[in-house]
Amino acid sequence: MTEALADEPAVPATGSETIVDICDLSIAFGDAEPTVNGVSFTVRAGETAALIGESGSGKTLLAKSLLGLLPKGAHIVRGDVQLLNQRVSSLSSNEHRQLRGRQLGIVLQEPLTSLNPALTVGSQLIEAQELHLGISREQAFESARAMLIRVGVDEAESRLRQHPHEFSGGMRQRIMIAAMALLRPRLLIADEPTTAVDAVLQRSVMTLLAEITTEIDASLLLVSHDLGVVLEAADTVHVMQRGRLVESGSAERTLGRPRHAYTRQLLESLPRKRSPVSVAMDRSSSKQYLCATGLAVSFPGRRLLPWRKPAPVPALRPTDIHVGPGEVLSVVGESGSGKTTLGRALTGLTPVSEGQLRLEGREIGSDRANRKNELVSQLQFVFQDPFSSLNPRWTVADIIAEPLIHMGVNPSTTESRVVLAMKDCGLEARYASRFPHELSGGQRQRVGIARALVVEPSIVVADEPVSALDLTVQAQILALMGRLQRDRGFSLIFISHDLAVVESLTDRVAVMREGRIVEEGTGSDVFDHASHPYTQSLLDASPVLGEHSDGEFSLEARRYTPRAIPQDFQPAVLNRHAAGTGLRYLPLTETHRVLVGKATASSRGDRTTASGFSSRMPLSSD
Amino acid sequence: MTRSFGGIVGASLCGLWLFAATWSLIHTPYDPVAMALDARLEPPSERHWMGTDQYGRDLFSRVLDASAVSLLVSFVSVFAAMLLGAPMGAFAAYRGGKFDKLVLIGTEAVMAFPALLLVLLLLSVTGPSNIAVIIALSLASVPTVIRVSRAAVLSLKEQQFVEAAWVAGASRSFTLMRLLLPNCISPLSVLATSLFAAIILIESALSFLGLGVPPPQATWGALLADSRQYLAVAPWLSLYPGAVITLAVVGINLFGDALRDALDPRLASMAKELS
Amino acid sequence: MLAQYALRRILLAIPTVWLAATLVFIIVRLLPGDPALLMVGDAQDAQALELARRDMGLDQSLPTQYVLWLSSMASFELGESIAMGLPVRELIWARFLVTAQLAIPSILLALLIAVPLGLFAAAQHNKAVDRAAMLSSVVLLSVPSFWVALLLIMLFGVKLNWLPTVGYVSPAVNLTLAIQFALMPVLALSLTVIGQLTRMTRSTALDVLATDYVLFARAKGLSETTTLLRHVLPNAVAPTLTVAGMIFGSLLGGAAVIETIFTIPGIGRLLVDSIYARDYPVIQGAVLFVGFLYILVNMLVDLVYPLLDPRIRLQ
Repeated sequence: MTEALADEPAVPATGSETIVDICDLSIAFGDAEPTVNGVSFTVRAGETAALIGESGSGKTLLAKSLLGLLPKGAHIVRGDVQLLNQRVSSLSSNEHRQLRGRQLGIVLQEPLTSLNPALTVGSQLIEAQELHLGISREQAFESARAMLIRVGVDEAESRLRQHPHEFSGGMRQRIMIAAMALLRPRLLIADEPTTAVDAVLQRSVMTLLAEITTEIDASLLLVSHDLGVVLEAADTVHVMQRGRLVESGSAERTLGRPRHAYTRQLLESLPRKRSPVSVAMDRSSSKQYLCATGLAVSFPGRRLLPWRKPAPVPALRPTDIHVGPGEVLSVVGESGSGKTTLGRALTGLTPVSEGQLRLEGREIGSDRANRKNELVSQLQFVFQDPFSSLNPRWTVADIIAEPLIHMGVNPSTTESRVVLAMKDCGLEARYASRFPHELSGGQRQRVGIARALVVEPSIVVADEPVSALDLTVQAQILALMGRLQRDRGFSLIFISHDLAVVESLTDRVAVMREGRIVEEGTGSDVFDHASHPYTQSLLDASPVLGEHSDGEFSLEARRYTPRAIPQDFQPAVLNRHAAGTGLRYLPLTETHRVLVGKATASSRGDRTTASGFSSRMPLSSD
Repeated sequence: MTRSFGGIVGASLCGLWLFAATWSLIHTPYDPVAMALDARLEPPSERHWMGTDQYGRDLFSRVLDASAVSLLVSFVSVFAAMLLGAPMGAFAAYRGGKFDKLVLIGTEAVMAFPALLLVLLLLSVTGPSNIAVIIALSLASVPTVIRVSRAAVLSLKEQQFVEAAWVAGASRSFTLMRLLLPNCISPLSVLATSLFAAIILIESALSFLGLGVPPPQATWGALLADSRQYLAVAPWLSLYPGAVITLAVVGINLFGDALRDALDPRLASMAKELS
Repeated sequence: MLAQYALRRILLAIPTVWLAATLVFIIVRLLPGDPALLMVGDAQDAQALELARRDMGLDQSLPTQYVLWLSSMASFELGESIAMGLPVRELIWARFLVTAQLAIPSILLALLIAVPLGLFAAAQHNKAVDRAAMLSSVVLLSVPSFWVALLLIMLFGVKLNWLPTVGYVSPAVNLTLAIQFALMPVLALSLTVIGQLTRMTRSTALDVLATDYVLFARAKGLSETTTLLRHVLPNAVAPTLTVAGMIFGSLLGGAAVIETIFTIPGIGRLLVDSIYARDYPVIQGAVLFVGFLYILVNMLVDLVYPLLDPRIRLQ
């Protein structure tokens, strides 16, 4: 067994009490190789400890073992855990159960599925209080109300009587935190608390967790793959790789001066700030290759009553966008912003309800089925989900060859082009006869990219191609896409929910919210001069990692200087010009435009405000 | 382990009945319709494994003879229902639009009645005959088949690899033949087993009521119906045919469960919900 | 929201009723055979046949026939029984009340056994209890109910002589006797249903047990029993109830076979007897009635559903 690189002691011994002491713990499924292998660390009172690792590192399993809630088939093979000086192995399952909630709490990753849909929020906040604190129903209700207000849910009294589906994901996350905080456990485990939350809300969730744990005097064990979150919040850090603890220490030391190669690799995989000398600025010229005018998509709404006409639900409001030859355009926005719909509409996968699409100035139909083969092969798509986008019954070679077969390319040419595409995408030849389920997520995504590139398209739309992947794999795939794009010179439309991810890759950025582009410009326009409040909140939510010449890392806040909105374009003035909602695109520079106008509060109750929209003033570059 | 064990038991039971039914066409220990008035209502013995009935006919031979008819009628009904329903449902889902709506309306009308009731109504109009029984049984099951194959194609259409083929320039016929149909086979074969089990039960109920395959042909249900008068004196007349039906249906159900577990669990659970 | 959902669901049932009636019309009128002959039941009586044809509007065009037929069905003008000379409407209602006396206890008994058993089996997933429960449910749902009935008669009626074998006594006449007569048919009917519902409850409970909210409930320190009853049961029972509703609908439609064995004058028996007697007004009326009942029960279950799963209201 290799010893983890650890500082001794992990935190300055201030005589604080040890809450959890994990000693040489190994957990395995059946007789298989242990999934958690000889892990030791401690969490002290009041401390925020972070457990970092990628999927398969065993971090979640370890966290569940503290609660005594290991999944079926998993068991502790070796070692022990001491919870508040009680050895877990000596506890009966009933004694361990009584520690849950009372001494140990957990906040789960997925807020949408972690509350019982059939019970009111109130009863779910009350049940464990009655059990653990021995208080009356009325008292429990009263403290639930107070706690709900504390975590930021308004009108707590009436909302306690509502069911979970009546709350947004962010609210449900807060309710979950409240449910645990009410029991005042000594240790709160947060399992990937920010993964399912939109970028702009991540910080508020972390702040709440930090405040609550301080208020109830609990330690926090943060289980996460997100180094950005960990860097800001943790006192101590424990890095796990394939079941083993590879490095432990204070957050400052471990992440500032990593000793283990894996920790360093993780840090280096973080999205970087664009190097000042950006790639080929001339690419983002005014030349338009693929150009959409007034492109809009709406889906049929639900018919509530038979005689009522269903109102169409707009997914993409009329949008102008273009991409130049060999240019990388990033489309960034959170779920529901319309970014994926835009990408699909550009490729012809989703029927367009209005607007025009032009390729090299010639209008092309928006229905893919009616397009000619050459046109189809010019526009390719890389899917987000590397699992369901590959036919489970076909081999890798079959999958990559598929577009060529539809084009009627002869078999020998097909074979050589498949071999070439695999090589270009970093897939060894021996994978040709494998099936998708035999590959890792990263390899699968490489297959997806190879399939898109085998027909040598001139435009590739990539829909969140890395969001389902681990950090280190994500960096590899991003690097691969960047290299292929430079070598082959296709235009790339890169769709992402994470602004930081696209920074190193992109020439231009379009930020979307609620079906509209709210800001668009070159990388430098958007990253250095973010002018729309929404873009700014996205940037604020993603600090950058700075790497210093001596090999040390540090976390830095984003710096940007918004461009001033000229006086005559103030909303008040605009409203006089534009009928209706008074919203327009304001060209800040030749390449930079931003949506301005009367700010309307978002319907979903998030903090940022979004702009409404009626008329468009396209970027006048043609 | 238990699951595969159940599958093995199920498959063996199915195989046993298939063999017995086929074999009975060539040979039965006694002539199933030959009366022997000197050997009436004999209890099971070495000579008559399952005893004899009120006319001295060998019950074992009659059960074997009935197996062939009961299994064949049920099998043909399932087969016809699948043949009719599966392509219709798949095509409805694939085409969508008016055709899809029309098919849905049709299935809804049929599914507004309990299956046995519909079969009884059809038989009351046509009168009992082998063909009428088969037609009634398959017509009553077609809507379920349509629903399952339609749902399977609908969910497959949402799969990204089907979209990916679309991006790659796949034609409509390629999508239907190479991508959608092969992936429908799993839910449909699971459905076929559960349908088969249900139809055997309905068919024997029909025969029991005297509305199924017309006499003198023995069927499992008819054997049980005949046994009713002799419950007190010759209980074996009820015990054996009933046990035979139960074993056959248990076999098919166990086999179907194993099939469902072995095939894609998600698609199979969909078939289960709809059947 | 709830009111809108309910209204929507009720409105949805109307076209289904119409479709079902149309199907019956198609089967009775469009299949080969003379409906007038079917209705009169006596081919020799030429005069009565002619009269019946005119009565039924068979001399009119098919669409006119369809409209006439629909309107008479809509006003419950179901005609008179040939064999019994009574109005079909009254006949069906009286027989339905008898069937309901069997169907209601059967479904209740089945739910009472199947739901706890399925839940328990799921909680003991892959352990001996679970396997035994699963094996017995497969056997139960595979056994023909009429064979079970014969076995019960053999055991309790003939061998032990505990219960009266066949027949029916109205609970209004003698409650104790009525229960004695009803015991075996109810048991025979519910055994198959128990098999189906146990499997259904178990599989949905297994899905629920794997959810995050059950993990979260356990993480709060709730005991296994509380978790099962408070968090798993309501979510697992909802889909089971839908299936139970469909089964109940078909039970109400008359368990033709069981009613025949036990000589119970229920609606299933009525249907079978009418088929033997070729009493078409009764067949047509009974089928229509049962179809509507089936639709009605399924609708009622859907209306109850949001109480168990509040999410439904919003969809």
